[in-house]
Amino acid sequence: MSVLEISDMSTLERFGVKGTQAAKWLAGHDVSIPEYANTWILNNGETLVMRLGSSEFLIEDQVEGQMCKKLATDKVRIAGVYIVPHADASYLLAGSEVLNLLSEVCSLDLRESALQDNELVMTQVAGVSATVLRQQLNNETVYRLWCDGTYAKYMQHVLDEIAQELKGLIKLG
Amino acid sequence: MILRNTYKPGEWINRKKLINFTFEGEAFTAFEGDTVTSALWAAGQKVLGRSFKYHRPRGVLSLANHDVNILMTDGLDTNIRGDVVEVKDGMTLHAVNTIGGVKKDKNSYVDSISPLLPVGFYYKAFHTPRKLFPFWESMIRKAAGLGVVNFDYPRILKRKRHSHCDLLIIGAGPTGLTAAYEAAKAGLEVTIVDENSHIGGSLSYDYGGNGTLAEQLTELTKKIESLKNITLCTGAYAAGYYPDHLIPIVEAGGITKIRAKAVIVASGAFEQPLVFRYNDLPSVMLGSAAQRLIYRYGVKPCNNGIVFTANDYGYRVALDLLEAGTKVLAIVDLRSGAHGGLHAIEIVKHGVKIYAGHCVYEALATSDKLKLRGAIICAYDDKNSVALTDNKFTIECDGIAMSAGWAPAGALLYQAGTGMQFDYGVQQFVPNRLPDGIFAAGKVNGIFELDQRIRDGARAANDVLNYLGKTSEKSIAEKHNGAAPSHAYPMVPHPKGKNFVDFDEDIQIKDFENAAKEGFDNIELMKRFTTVGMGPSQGKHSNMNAIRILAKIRGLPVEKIGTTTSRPFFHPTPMGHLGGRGFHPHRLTALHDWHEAHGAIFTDVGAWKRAAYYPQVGQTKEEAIQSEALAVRKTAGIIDASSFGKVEVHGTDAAEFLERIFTGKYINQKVGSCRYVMLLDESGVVVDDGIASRLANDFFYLSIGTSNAAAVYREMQRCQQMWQLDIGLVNVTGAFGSINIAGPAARDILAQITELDLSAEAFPISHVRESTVAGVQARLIRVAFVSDMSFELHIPMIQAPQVWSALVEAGKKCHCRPFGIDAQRLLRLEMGHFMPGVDTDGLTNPLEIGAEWAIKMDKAYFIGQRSLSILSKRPLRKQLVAFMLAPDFNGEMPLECNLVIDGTEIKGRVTSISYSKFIDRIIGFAYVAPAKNGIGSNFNIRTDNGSLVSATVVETPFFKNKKEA
Repeated sequence: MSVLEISDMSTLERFGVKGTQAAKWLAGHDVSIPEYANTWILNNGETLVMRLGSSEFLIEDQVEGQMCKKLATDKVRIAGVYIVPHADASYLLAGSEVLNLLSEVCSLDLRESALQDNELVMTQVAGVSATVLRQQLNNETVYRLWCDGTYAKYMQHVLDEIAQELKGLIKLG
Repeated sequence: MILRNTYKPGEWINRKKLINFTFEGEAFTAFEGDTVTSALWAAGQKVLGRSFKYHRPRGVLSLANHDVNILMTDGLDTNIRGDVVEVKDGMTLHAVNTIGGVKKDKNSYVDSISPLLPVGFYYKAFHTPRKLFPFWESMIRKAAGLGVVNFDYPRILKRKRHSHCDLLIIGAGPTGLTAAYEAAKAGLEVTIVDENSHIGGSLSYDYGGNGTLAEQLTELTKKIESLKNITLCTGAYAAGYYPDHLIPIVEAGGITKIRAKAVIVASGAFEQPLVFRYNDLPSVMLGSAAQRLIYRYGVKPCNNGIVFTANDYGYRVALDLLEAGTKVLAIVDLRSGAHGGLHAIEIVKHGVKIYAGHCVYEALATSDKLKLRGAIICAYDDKNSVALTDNKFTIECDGIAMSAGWAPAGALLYQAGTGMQFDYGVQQFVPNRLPDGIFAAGKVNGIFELDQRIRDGARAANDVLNYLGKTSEKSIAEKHNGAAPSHAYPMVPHPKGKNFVDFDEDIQIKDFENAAKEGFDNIELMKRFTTVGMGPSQGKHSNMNAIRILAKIRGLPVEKIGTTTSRPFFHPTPMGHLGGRGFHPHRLTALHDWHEAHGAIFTDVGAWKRAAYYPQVGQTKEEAIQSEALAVRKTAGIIDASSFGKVEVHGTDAAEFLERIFTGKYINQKVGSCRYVMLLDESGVVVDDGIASRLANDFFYLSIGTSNAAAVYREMQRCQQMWQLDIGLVNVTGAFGSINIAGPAARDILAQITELDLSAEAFPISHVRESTVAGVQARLIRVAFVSDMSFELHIPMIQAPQVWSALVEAGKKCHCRPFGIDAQRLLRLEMGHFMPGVDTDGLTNPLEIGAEWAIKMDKAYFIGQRSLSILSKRPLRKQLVAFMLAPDFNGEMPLECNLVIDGTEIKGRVTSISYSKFIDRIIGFAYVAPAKNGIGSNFNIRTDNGSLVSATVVETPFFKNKKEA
């Protein structure tokens, strides 16, 4: 396991939707959704579907995924379904020092003993509103982090600075 | 190392490694693990510091970071605490707060003029006569402070971390360690914090001559180390308590904020000094300090010593001194009829004489006043707390160990809201009512015997397990048995004083008496008048004695006096720790790189970095701003307005929602049109404004100010929670960029990159359209904020550079240029538009800024309506007006916030002011008295240099005035 790796995942396709009918609308587009708020699932084993609240969802494709593009083509306005444009900065954090890094930027307990599988938290990271979850990727525990894209350079700078202190690496793109 | 003893089990030093350092220019040798103080004391160097106020020589008092007798500088850092900071090879140390060195401090004369510096001296000196104020100020500024701040100190990042555990235990003494072991055995994740560099607490020095106790600590340590779910943090102190069990732990490398499910405070107690004349001489130290020297560092405190005690603990100290090879000449026990418990028998076997009902009346100094040479002993009336000097006698000695009792280290308990009560059985404040999840054990809980403390630690662990829902046996808290560990009044009055209560501030018993005479007889007032407990030690060794003295003065029981308020941080913490890594989140628009590449100077607006202006080669800031503004007036300019707040309001109740939130009407707003929005708070104060564009019957697009965007969106969410309307709010501030193109050529430029009909007929002011611009889907809004001819383009943030580049290219022929927010503010001023937050403050209502036109009081409801209804019936106290200075004005330019003066009265202030090259006048907004708001009225502005500048109220927009002129 590496000491610390931070990868910029901002270029992945994302799609956001909220509203009282959002869950139904997604189901109508063959998207499986998490049962509870603040949880996530993998749709067809690849597309990440996050339930940010009782009626708000964020969907993220893998590199060649098509789910978000497909959902975005449906332009019909329906009462209770509101598209949420996302221009997020997104990161993947991994390595033996990842919890040390997170302990400097987030006040929540993000250890496996506290952050349940498939749970996500909407919190502050380095003073910025962010969404955080933990995943297993290639048998390694990794953390995912999303924040508003206008904070991207700031967030990258903070993570980079701490990673360097912890002798970690930054990967871009 | 003339006072260094032979090896003792459990000692903290590594005798195999020698360390060389200097103190006050003299070379010394130490062992690895020695603190600066222990190394110097071992070498016989006993004058280690000077007191703050009287510059009296000082030596070891607590050797536990509970006092500041010994503060050093290494030339780089200052106020290094010699008692606890380990000495390093090559250190070059000097005592702080001296002129000419610790032994020949030129300021030591202050001690001889101390009668001229009584309690409250500062307050009185500053009072009258006023003409002496500069003299005293200069004097006191020179005398104030201890070390000298090094402004070249390197920036060393101190980390701030967050951590979590089931149980946080403060104090790694026998109580805390036992509690940790029991709790961890039951499966809890435990963190223990201790200020010392090694665990063990009193089990590492309080042996009462019984060295086998060191083995008990070794066994306990092994048990702790065998459990992986225990985290030990030594050399770290719990600095404060914050709600929900958040406790900052300060270490050399930074601060860790620990959030625990439960907390056991096993922080022990601070030993308290006996108060007698010259109790501050070097070699007069607390009994526990002597024990620490002996067992932690293998140092003999003195060769011929006296133990002055007011409890049984002093007898344990005497046995430890004997163990260290000190000849104990006498035990002087303040208590009449005291027997000293079982230890007294041992003491007598060693031939030590015990003087019960006696006191050390005065410590005697050598002729150079630097060393202890003896003590005057006399009988003591324990009931009336007076020394009986008829038969006083002198004992020659080179050390006095004193034991008066203990004050609980209960700062965190107080901060957590613990109810404390005074327990006469132990003569100490003990917890009476503990908050949920907070537990106390050991000395801080009034339990002193070692066996009892160990059981109390286990009891606290069981209580925690029960609290956290784990089944555990219920155990009953024990009470202290035997003589009180603390004396009720360990003071020896002396007509000549210098019997110190507070060693930080050189405060004597008479200072308290004088303070009480002057009326400062409440503990909080007395604290502030005498400054007791206000030094770096924060009263660790003085607060309890101060309370006892005040109780005696007022003839009240101690519990009626109470304690002073304990606030975090309870121990001085370096500013570098508090600063730590700063998080200063800032947002950048998608055009930031372009602005940077084109020489923009940035400014902070809310969380955003925005281009303020773009200076051309050789241009000053003012020239750049004026030329950017002129471009907008004469041709066109573009500005990156992506930082504007942007919110979509969807749903059948969208118009109703806006009606309630804002002051205007939106129910009848036509699709495709825009309306002004103004948000008030419940008291009718202007919060923000913006534009509502109706894109569909059930869809509004709001653009609001940059600085308040997040707060406005939060308020919208809060209101929706209450109102439960059929709407959906989508904050698209970060997802959408915004570009404003303004100026006479704006339409022509924009027309080159969009197929939308931009004619005035098809797209009039205050309307919104959706179309593509430079191939990007956009919302276009015709606003008139900086110019009558202006288009705001709202596009996906990521595509903003594409649209911006297309506009720049299309505008080249017209010399269209970017302008920053400084020019934007000038342009809107020329247009006569006020800006919330610039021309308003936290008290301004819309009536004061002439915004009645934006208020629709005939609506059923909007936020602030009720307050506004009341305010409208009251006369205005100020009113915002537009003004100009005289055309030929060439005096000092008034600035924003300069006052509007009428005679000797302040009537208002300037909120915006600028020279406009386009109008060629100085224009602005200012608050004036309502009587002065008529067009043509004159008022005076007082500039920074005191001159009065006449201004004339004018109509807006300003440049219409120019046209008319």
